[in-house]
Amino acid sequence: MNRKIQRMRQALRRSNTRLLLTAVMLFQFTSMLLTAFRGSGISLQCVALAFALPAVTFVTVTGLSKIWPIDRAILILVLLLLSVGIITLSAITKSEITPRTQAVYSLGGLGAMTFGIWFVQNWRGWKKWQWWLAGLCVLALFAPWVIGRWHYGARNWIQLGGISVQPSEFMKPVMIAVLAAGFSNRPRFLKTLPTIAFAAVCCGILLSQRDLGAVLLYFLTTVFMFYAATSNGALTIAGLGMGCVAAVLAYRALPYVQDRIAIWINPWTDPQDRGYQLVQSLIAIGSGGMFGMGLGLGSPRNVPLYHSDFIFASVAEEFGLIFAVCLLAVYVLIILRGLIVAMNARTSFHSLAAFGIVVLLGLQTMLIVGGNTKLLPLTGVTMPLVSYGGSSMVSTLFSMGILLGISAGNARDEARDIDILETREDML
Amino acid sequence: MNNAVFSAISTTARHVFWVLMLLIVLRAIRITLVDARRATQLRVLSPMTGLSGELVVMEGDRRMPVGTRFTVIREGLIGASRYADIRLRHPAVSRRHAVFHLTERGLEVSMQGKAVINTDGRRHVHEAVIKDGGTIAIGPIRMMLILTEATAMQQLSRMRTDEPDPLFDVLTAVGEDRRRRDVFHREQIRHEPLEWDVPTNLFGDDDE
Repeated sequence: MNRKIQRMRQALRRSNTRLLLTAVMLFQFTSMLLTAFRGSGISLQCVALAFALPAVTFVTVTGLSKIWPIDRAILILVLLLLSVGIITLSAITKSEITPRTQAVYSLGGLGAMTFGIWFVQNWRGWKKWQWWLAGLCVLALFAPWVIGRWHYGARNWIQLGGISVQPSEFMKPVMIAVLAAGFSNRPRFLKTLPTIAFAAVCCGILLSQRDLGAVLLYFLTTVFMFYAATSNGALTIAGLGMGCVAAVLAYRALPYVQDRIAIWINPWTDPQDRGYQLVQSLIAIGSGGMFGMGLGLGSPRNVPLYHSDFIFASVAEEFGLIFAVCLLAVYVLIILRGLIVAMNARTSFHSLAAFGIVVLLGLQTMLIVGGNTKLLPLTGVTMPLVSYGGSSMVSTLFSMGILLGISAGNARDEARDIDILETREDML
Repeated sequence: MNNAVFSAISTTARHVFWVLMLLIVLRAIRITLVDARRATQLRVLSPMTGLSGELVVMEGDRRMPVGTRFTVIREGLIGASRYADIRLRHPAVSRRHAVFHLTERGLEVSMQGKAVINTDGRRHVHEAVIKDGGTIAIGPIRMMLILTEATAMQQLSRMRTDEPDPLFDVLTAVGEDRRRRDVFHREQIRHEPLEWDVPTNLFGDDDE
């Protein structure tokens, strides 16, 4: 029986990620070092980042793994995405401020991620806090109407001191926590109505602010989490149907929605004005070919918002299609591993929270990559962990921290089960 | 650096980057597959992993004979519905009879709708807390709750005294002719012969 316990402990151990970590660090070092020689002189900032990125990656992975039994593979892949963003920004932007700011945001995001790992393992009273968090979410989303400003056609930014903050980004993990608490423990449909009403209020506020991308993300995440919690296919399809009806009504009532759809269908009707962004994005992706033009050799600045909404086009141009597809595969792997974490979670709250986090990540990635490649209409969301932007970066890393915290809880529970079994075997 | 030199290096290096990225993705896929295989192995070695305990039927009927056991996870649904985690098919049991979840106090059971349960002889219409060893009755079905962590210590204390163990009696009556893995009766299904056959001798070193 001791042999069996030993085999169980062996089965509990996760795979060796040293080779994966080494490959990621090698990529970070070589690509950042190459970027340092892009201009006429040597960029000291890029040289510093060439050493800092692998060092921070190594310290973060080994440090956090020693403290908690987290899923190291997810962490390494998340850090890879962060570094692709910083490296691409260093290669494509004229100014050094943008990649430096992104690096600072990333450090802040790693702090938020660490807090998220600790928080989810120690937070017990999620049911009690559900409606307080819901209230906070609604207030925060409403804040741009009070102290916000219009930015690129949407009123979804607020100024706090000298920093611009997007509340809809920060409220994503809060929304997931509220939905997970509301949908946990297999509630009846009537008991889920207050939670669904909360989601509807959030979507309504975001629609009034013309933040269509966030509306879509909040709505679809709610639908997916509802289905995962209740397995009620009929009501889920009814919800999706209502969403489609709302989309048709929005199309008929809002001119900017009609504009977006028209440009999506055929951007070549107005390639110099309304369709310029999409046309340039397609040209950039095509120019990169399979292997890319080479780091620092492309012309991504022809694409408006090349550092945020259209960074995927920049990555495809510089690094090539194979690299871009591998980048998408990294997202898929994070989502897959996150789904496994969700399935192994011991409580429905943690299971739904993990599920909601990966669904949100997947939907956001799909929307932005689809928008860049003309598969879907443009919605103005960012590419998670890669695009320039502090709000998105910090909130996504906090969500990843929650996911890693749930994975640590799963590993601890399984180890405890084996200990209990061993105690019983010893007594028998 | 000279533009031409930089272009040449960058054009060459792009192949290094996509190869590295491909290697990273393939390695991550392999890690995911190996982890999935290990998780399956763990489930095979210990199907009880992830379970909080069991509900054992002490009084039942033809459909729910005595000794029937239902595994208890950390939270779930008791009812007659096919989606229920503990499915009791009996006219007295509603489709969604009660929802339970495990806390430090014990198993907290919340009744749904007009459902009623009895625990240790007391009637509950809203919620109840069942501790390890406590009984719960839904209609004519009475079950005893065994929580995994408490069981180890309780079994130890019962083995050291002559205290009667009704659960032991039920399980020995039912489990003898079944080759199920049973954490209380492992000696019955072990392959190697035992050196002892009386549980009270397990900890008795004063016979020698």
